[in-house]
Amino acid sequence: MLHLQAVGQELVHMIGATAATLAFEVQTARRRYFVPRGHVDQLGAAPLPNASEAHGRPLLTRDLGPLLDPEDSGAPARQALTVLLRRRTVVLRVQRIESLESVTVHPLAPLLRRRLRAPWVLGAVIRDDQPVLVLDMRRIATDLALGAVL
Amino acid sequence: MSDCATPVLIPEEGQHGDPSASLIVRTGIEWYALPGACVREVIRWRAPTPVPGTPAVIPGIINQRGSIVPVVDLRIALGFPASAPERSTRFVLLHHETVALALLVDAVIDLVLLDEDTFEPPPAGRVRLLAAVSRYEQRPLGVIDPGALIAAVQEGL
Repeated sequence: MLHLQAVGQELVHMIGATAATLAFEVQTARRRYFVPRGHVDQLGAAPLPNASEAHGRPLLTRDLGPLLDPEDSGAPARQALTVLLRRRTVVLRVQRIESLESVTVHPLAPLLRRRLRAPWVLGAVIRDDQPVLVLDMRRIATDLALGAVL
Repeated sequence: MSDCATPVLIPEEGQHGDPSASLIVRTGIEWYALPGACVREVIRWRAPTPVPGTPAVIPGIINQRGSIVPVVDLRIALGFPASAPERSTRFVLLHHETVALALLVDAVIDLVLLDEDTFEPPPAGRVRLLAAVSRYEQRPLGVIDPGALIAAVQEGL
């Protein structure tokens, strides 16, 4: 596994209403997302089903695709993004991690932000003329650890 | 009736319209008028990017010339069930005060000048999103109040 915590400071600068940041592009069965590099502590192959944390507690592991969209399932999740929280380690499986690149994040419109059930989306990146969501992976991991997600 | 600033109307075919005009759209079998001063553009349907955790009335976001715009489904806003997109499905890009949205409609019918003298108060059950009712080509026509529509979406439609 590649440990990312020591790989320097995340490049973030606000330019008007948009922000540039380094992010992983990840692919689920049906969708793609961007995940800020600073939200991910480790990445690598998806762990075995019975994998546990260093002190023996089972890893909290979920597939990212169906977590965000119930219809986004089917393909095997081969790779994983790991978020280390203070008390839990959360592993979110994806089909593929495509790239790490600097992206310009457009914030969501207030009309939309106000209606989000959970603040899991930081904004969107335009790729191939389509918006691609940028996820707040630490918030997703925290909600999973708190049991706030079924 | 409308608080839409900078009235510019650019329908799909590219003609520029009168800002006092109304854009007639179809949702299901019902026709509605949108104030032309709020309409920026009519664009063909393309699959919006869904945003997890949003209600059905906001089926996603689209990119329109570098801006990320939320989509509002007029069918659902009016209390009808959602439907699959057809060849005639369009997004009507609306700007109202500081809010921009892409209104999902089943079809765009026409750009017309409506005689406001024919406007009547909306019936009690539909008053929330309508500024008035009228008739167009012998059909009943609901005149959408964009401010009320946005407020309803913000408040939890």
